[in-house]
Amino acid sequence: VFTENDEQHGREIFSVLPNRRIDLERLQALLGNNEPVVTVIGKYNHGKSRLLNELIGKDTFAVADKRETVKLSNNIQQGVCWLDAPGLDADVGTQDDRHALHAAWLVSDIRLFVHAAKEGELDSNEQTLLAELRADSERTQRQTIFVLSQVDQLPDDDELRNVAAAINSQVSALPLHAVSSTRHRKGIEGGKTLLVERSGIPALRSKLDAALLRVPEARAHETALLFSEIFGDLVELRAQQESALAALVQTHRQQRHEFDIGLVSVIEKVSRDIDAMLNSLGIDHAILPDTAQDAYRITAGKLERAHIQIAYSKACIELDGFLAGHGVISLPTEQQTSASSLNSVMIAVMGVSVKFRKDLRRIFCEPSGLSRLQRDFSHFYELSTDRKSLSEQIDEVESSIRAIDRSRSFLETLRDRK
Amino acid sequence: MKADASNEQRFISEVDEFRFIAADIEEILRRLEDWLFRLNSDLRSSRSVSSGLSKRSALVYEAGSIDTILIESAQKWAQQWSRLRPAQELADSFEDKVLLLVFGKFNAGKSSLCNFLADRFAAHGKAVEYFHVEGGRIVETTEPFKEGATETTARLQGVRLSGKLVLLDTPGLHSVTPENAALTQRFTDSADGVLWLTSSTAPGQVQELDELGRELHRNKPLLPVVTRSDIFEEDEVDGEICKVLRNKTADNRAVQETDIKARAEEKLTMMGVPEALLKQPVSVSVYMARGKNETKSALSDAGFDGLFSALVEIIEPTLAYKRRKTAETFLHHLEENVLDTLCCDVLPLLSELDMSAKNALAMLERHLDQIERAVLRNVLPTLPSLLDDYATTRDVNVIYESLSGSIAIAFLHETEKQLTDYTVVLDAQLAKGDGSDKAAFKEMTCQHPREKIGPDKVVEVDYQRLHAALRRWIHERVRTQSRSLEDQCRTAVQNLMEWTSRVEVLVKAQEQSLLNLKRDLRANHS
Repeated sequence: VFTENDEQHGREIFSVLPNRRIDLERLQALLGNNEPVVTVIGKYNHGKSRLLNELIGKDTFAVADKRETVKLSNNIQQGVCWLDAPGLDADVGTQDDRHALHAAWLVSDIRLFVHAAKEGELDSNEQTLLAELRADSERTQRQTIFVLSQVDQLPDDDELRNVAAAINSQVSALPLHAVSSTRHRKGIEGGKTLLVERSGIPALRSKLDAALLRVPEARAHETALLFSEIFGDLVELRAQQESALAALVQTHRQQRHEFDIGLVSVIEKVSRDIDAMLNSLGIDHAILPDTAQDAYRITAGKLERAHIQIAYSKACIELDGFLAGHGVISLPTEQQTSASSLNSVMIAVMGVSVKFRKDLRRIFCEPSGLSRLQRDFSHFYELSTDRKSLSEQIDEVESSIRAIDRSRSFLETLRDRK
Repeated sequence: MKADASNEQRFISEVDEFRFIAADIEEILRRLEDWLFRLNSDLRSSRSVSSGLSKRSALVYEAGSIDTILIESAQKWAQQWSRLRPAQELADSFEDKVLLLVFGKFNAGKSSLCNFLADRFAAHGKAVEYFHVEGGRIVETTEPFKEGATETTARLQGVRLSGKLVLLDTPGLHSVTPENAALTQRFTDSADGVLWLTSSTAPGQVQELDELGRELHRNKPLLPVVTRSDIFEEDEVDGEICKVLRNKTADNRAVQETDIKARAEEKLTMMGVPEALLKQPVSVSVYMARGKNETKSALSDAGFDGLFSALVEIIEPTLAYKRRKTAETFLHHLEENVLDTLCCDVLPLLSELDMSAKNALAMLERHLDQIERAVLRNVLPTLPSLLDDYATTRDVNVIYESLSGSIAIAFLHETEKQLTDYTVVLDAQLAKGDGSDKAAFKEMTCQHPREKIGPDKVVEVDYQRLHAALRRWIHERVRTQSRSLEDQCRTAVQNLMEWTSRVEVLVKAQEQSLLNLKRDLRANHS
């Protein structure tokens, strides 16, 4: 059912909805649409494997008077997948038990909860597990059947009634199915009808057959339930991420807006100052070359070049102050050169110095120059450390939203494929 | 001992002959006391070092809770020891008796086994005295224990056999009523060995042994007993089901015993207790023994020969334990109360703290980067107007002072905002810099002619170089201040980490030396 592409999507959903891991795995099992699965759950040595053998009518699973089943084994017979899970509480600390229980939990449609009559009441582990199974039955319509096993090991019917009463006081409103696999086997082999009848196995088998007929309906219910819960989670998660994104984008936009406004006004100011300075100069002396004797005189050209240089550096200083206030403090690392004195945004944009009127006019007083300043400084603004880290946060949230959307459309495909 | 005596007779006569000889344990007791004294004085002088860290910081909070444990421990240990005294007295009153804990789940058949063993002693003409704990007191009774498959025993009951052997049937500490808890605890503390009863229906649910951790760590032998090792066999005869109860076969019993042994060993290893405590499991059926009129062969077939032989085997180590009991009790206190506090409470807290400290160090550089950037964003924009304002007077000093002031204020502001976990000292001197920096910035005027005749002509004040120099100077000041902060923070965290490793070393050393004492005790007095 699942393609390689599906698996990739599947992995993504797990990371998008880590808390839905079990439900997603169960959904996967449901979509496989295999034979209905009947499993036995309970303490080891309470006769689970033997019970399955009697229900199937064939020696399918190994039995012994100790903890025998140590890993999950299944067998398809009569259109049903019979699943023998290892008994609870046998193990010391290995993970095998838990894995097996987990797997049995995931794939099973009908759970036979097995408890040996001779043990009397349920212990606390059994009670907890049974409560979980019943809660799950409520939710998913998967059926749980209580099987009181090995009733042949009780001295008489009075004792059976005592045990049943004790268990009924622990778990209310759950019919107990008293069975004896040994009795059944002996009755079948010896052709003894009373033993067969009193084994409870035929009654349990017809109960099971009725339960099996309800599996398709239960599966449809559970599939719809899981889809709707998971879609609900995705919608909620997306809404959370959307609002986080909106807040970040708002901050991002606001910062840029303030930068743009400020940059326009600082550029206007330096442009005005330079324009005024240039207009006050009169004849252009700077272009006249100095002669040899001029080295010892203050020439008009020298004065003019000085004025231009000073005006230019003031403009740079003004701009630098503005940029620093917005976090544009140094060149991005990848643009830095080994000459540290050249590692400033000012030099990167403006060059080292300006000597002539026409250069100043071109840079500060003509529309093309002004828009270049605006463009270049904005470029470095977006590369500044604080600004970049904000952009990265936005990218992360956006990519998580995309993952949510991909997961959602993948689930929709799965649902429709079904 | 007679060669043909049954194991039952052997056991009953061994119980009759119990004699206790107290071993010389004074020297080892003194060494145990020294150990505790040294530990207490070491801990008293090991308070945490939290200078440079804010009292509200997570690190100081974590260190504080460790301090509290260390400070309050000595007193707590003394109280725990005095609470153990009554158990000691109880043990004294059972001084010439062996106490065996009969442990197992409600359906393990504890009551029926105890009653049966009592009946066997009675059959040999020995005294049998039942008692139970009620309302925090011991109540003597002639009633045997109640039996029943679905009954939940919720009180501690016991039976004295021959006045020498006490079987304690404990419901497990979980289901004890509060007023009986203390006495139940004292009884289990005084027990010399454990019979672990496990039903043949689902034998060896080893997770039950978790509850016995305390007893096993106290080196008490553990004998697994598979109870109800019997099976009903049925047949249909003349339209009715007839059933016969039989012993499980020897093969069947062997399969269960081997399985339990293997899994219990694995469990003990996981619990960190010696495998040698575990005895070879035995299987019994009280029903079968009783059903066949308790004849010698019925007892033997029902597994009791094996049980008695196993009981004889555990009596010897039990007696050895009993002889060194005073020292063992003190050792248990040191292990379970003192070392346990240190190893289970303090050590994990120390490594958590160490982890937090490492995280704090890892975050430090990023915090300071952010602080530096924030300060620069604050201070650099003031440069153009400062230069403008003081261009005419050319007063460089005022500019430097003003900048120093802004840097200091910005740092104050940013550290309050971003270095809340530390109590750093901002050295105002660091924001000022020295004279050699300033010396480089005399070129405030420029474009004066080189003429030898006539005065310099000042065109206008140029401060491009001054600006560049000031910018560099600001970066340097900010960097220096930030380094000083980083050093302070780093030192504070490192001091704390040194403290954690000092305490850790101390605890581990004490743990090792107590292990040595324990080895000596068990080697010299077993």
